[in-house]
Amino acid sequence: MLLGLIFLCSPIGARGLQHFLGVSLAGVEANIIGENLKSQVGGGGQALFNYEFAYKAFFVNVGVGADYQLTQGKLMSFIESKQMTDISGEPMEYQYRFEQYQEKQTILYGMFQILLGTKLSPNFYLQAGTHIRCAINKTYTTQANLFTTGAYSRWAGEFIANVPSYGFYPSDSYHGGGDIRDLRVTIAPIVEFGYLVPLSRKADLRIALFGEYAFPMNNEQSLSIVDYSQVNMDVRTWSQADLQRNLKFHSVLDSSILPSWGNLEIGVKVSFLFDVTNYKVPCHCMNE
Amino acid sequence: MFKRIVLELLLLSALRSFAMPIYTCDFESEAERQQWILNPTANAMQAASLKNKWYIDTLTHSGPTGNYALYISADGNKSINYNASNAMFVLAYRPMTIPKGTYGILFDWLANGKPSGSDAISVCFVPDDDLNVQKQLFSSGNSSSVPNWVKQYAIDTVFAHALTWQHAHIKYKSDGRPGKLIFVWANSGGTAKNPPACIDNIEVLDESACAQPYGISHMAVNGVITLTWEGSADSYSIIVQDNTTGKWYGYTTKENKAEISDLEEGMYSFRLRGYCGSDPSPYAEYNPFIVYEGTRCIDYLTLNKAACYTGAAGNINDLGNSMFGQGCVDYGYASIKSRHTIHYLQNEYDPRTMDDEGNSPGLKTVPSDELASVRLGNWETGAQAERIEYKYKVEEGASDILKIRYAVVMQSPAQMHDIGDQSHFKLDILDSYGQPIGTASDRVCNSADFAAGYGEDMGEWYTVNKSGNMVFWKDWTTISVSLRNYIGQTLTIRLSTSDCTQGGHYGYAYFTLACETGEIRGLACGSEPSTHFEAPQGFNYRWYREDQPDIVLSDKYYLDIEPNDTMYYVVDVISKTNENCYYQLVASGIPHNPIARAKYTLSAANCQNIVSFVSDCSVRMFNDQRSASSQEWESTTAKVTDMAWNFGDGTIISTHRDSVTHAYPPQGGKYKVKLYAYLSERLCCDSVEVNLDLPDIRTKDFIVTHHICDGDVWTFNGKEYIDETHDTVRYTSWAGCDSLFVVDVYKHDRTPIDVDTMICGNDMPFLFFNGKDTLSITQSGNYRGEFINRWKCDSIVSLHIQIEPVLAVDMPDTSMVCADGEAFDIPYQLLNGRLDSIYVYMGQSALNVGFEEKYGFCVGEPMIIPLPNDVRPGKYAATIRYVTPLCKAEEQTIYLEVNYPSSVLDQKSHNGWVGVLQNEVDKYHFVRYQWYRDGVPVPGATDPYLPMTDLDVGHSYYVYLIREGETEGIRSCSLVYGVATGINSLLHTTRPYELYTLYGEKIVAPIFKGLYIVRYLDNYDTRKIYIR
Repeated sequence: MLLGLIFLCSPIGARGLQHFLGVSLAGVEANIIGENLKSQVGGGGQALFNYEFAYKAFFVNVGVGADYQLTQGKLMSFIESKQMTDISGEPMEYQYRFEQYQEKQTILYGMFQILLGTKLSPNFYLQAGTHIRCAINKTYTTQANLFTTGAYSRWAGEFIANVPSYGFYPSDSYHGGGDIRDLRVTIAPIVEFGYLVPLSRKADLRIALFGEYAFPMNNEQSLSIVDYSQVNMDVRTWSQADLQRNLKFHSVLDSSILPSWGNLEIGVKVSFLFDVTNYKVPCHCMNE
Repeated sequence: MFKRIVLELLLLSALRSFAMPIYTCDFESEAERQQWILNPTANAMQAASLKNKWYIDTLTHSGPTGNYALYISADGNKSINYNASNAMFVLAYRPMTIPKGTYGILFDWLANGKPSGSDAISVCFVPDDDLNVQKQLFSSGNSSSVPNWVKQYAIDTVFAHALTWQHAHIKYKSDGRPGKLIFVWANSGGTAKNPPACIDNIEVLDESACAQPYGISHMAVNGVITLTWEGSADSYSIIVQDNTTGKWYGYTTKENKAEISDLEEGMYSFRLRGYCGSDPSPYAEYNPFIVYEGTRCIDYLTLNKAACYTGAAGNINDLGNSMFGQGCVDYGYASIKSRHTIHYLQNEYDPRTMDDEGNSPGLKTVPSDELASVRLGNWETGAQAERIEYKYKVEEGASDILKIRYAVVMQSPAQMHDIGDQSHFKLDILDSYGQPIGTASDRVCNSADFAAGYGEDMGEWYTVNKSGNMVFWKDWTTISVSLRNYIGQTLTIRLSTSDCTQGGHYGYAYFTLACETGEIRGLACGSEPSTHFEAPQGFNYRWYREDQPDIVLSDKYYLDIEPNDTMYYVVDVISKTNENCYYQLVASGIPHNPIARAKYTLSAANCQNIVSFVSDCSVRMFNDQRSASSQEWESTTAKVTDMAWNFGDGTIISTHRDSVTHAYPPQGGKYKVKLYAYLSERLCCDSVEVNLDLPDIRTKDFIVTHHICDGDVWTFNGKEYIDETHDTVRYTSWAGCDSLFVVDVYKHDRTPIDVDTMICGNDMPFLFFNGKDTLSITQSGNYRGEFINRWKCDSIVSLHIQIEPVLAVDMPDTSMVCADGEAFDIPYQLLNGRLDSIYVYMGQSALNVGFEEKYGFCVGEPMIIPLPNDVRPGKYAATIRYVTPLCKAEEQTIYLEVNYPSSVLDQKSHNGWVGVLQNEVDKYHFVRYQWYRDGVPVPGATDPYLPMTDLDVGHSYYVYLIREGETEGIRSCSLVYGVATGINSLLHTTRPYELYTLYGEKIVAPIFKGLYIVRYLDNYDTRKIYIR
């Protein structure tokens, strides 16, 4: 609304106010920042249509576009356990020991951003703003090594392992995947610092470095990372094959294992902006 | 010297204390002194009048030891003297009992008295049962004669006229009655001739106990007197008194000779007694006049080296000796009988040359500067003649002037006989042909012939009227004869005396002989020329310069010259009796210096180092007659006669002798001896030092060890040894030092030796030398050896040797038992040898967990070591000691391992696992684990559990457990994986059952021992069972 007012109230053609339309493309390096992440790597790109109006050295840029990211993260090893009675009737703590837990995410966002900037010099500018985006398409795949053990108070040692008859299976690779449930609505502050290259009187090329940190909004993250609901837990009949088949994983982005995660992007943007300002020819008339 | 005397005296007194006389008294013992009754008088008046009294005190004594003697004093014991104002006698007696028999009464006495013999000592023994005489045993201060009982009971002659201590030895036959031994001193009125009676060292001796030595003779050469005698005693003691100084010396010896050094020439009294065991013999006396041969140019005082002759007065002029009998007649100087004797008393005057009262001095028998003189002839008439001859070889330079000093005493009747019949004195010097030397005119000078009352020089004779007879005596006269023309020849110096041929008047002479060099006294001494010369006195003189013989410078015995006058001067030394008899001496003022030189030789005797020193001093003069540049000291032929020796041990002597001998202690040592040579009455002196390094001549005691074979005889030192002996023999070395031989004789058997022995196998091989070869014995059996042993005794050795086999026991190094077991059961097997018992000594770590210190087992008994309650699993070292009946025990270390019981583990069925229980970990704090399968570690099995998938049936498993803080662990007891068989038999039932673990797990069969639950299916009864 404010922007519209600024837009409508700006006199068309006044030399102090200019209007631009453009398109920008960016390549980003993306990271999910969160606890329990052992490592993270990712990247993507952005494409935006921009409108910008400028007054002297100040300008406002509004963009609409898409943001596509591919990320991969590894979790720290973790253990999930259950108190059970083993096949011989002895109480034990049955432990799932996950290692090398790794998830890849592919997310396509729709994005709206607004930036306020200023020219620092004829060529350098700085702008800052924010964007809001929302996932349009979001999937994940999971891979982890898992071995199961049993911990007993009666027996010496931390746990008993490699006793398949007792469900203590040796380490093996487990897979999962699916859609990320969360809409991935984020709001991110953006900072951009760029260099303006006039291509002509009417066109500018801007090359900029930018960074933005997306905060998730309304992300419940209530799911457990591992879904055992379909696994056979009968100690007499369970098996590793069943575990292989029926052990499910949720996305870390949906699970409580990654509380308070954020998404950092750092990229290079190239923007083309065309001057669509309707300039009035100044009258050098004498009192008409 | 002094030290030796002390030593000897101690020995002497020691010997004395072991002597066995019936009675002995040296007045040293207070108790003995109390036994003497001195000066008994009848009443107080007599006592007051007694002027001469006996005292026992220390004003004199006889002998080298002691202080006390019995003597007369008239001044209250201030001095030894007597009062002869009137006749008196005084007694001293000692009550005693002399056993029946014949004894010698010996004592030392000294008493002078009047010449008449009226003052003397009498010795009596008055028996107590002669009561009449006993009543008369009193002294008298005024008695004209000695009582009759003195004559009645006198034992022997009276004693008087001795100026030096004499030794009396009188025989006494005792009838065994008790009585009194009495010494009486009696004197007549008149002039006392001191000293009065002195008595010491009384002995009453059984003379048959030990024979008196006899045949004493002596030799005196180079300062050593060698005394020899005959006798068969075990040892001898010698007491010597120097009659000149009165000093006493004592010596002991075991031989029949003694070598005594450091005594000056002179008159000595030797008393020699033997000891047969501890019994002494009477003393033998020997009173020689000691003159050292070789110390004079003529040993005229050594009469036994001279030729003595006796003959008739008429033959005095015979040149040959055919009419004379050979042999010296010497009964001592005092005896009228002595015709060739030595006078040595320095202040003796010939009584025949004095008047009857003896008041005026007469002829001194010994010139003042002589040691002694020889008397030839005696004052006995009988127309006797005596002759004495000395051989003399004339040496150049040393003594070519013969100086004869003589004094003559001849009796003549008032009416003199013809000259040829008068008493005569003759001096002749004969050449080697027996002819008088020189020409006829020379003979005037080198001979003498005096007849009593005749001669031109009678004015020089003295006359004494002796009982109607005239005694002519000529005082000491010197004849100096120059023998320079007879150098190299051996001359005979003959002196002769004779009585008058009529037989009524005697004639005798005294003489001394000496040699002189042509030297003048007063020669310059030192570096300063002399200004005063003296020729020998007793002559007439004529001094003149050598180059001016006609100018007489002096006719006295001396000449003084100007200082720095080094001209040569001549003096004619002219005989006073004949001016044609003279010789010349040359003097110059040229300085002379003595040069002291000495040599020495070492020897040993009487356990002393004896060093004989010979001085070779000479005189050099400064010859300034040469040119100034070559003036130097030249040696002369003159000799130094005035010398002094410092022997370096505190002893210093002056002597004229070239040779002196000194005794040093037997331990030897370093001594600095210095010889001083003097000239011109010690105006100048030279000295030379001789450094002695004397050996230790003492001999140590040593041990002689000898081995003999059984049946052999060994002779050593004259004694035969046939048995084992340990003897001690006294031995005197070549140096006279005593030492002890310890003789150890060991006897060795020849008999065959059987040796039965056992050798332990561990000590093999046993080396046996069989006399030829060395055998290395490793088997039991009999062996034989034939030996000549090192003692050269042959013997056969039969050796039976039993070899005890080497012990060999098979036993494991380690024994294991589970901690829940009861005991170690250590298997062992005796493989070889004999075993008596076995002991197990537990180490400290085992003791700490409750094991006993020691366990003992008999052979065959199982070696079971009970486990202590709640023994902590561990490895415990122990020492097993195998005790053999005969040989050394063997030891072996064993480790007793208490393993963790299998209850530290439990199983999980359903193909579970076997693992260590947590409560065991809490108990033992295990930190590391390693599973073993059949004793081999299972790779990677380091967890506290082992899955059963890793177990194979039929194999045993255990886990090796290491506790916290330890590096070594202990294993658990083994478990065998498999299905227990025979379970039915274990349960002793055929009933159907199910078997569960305590946790309710059903199992087919237990693989671990432990508690299980059995459920019988017929009645569902359940109970726990323990399955092993």
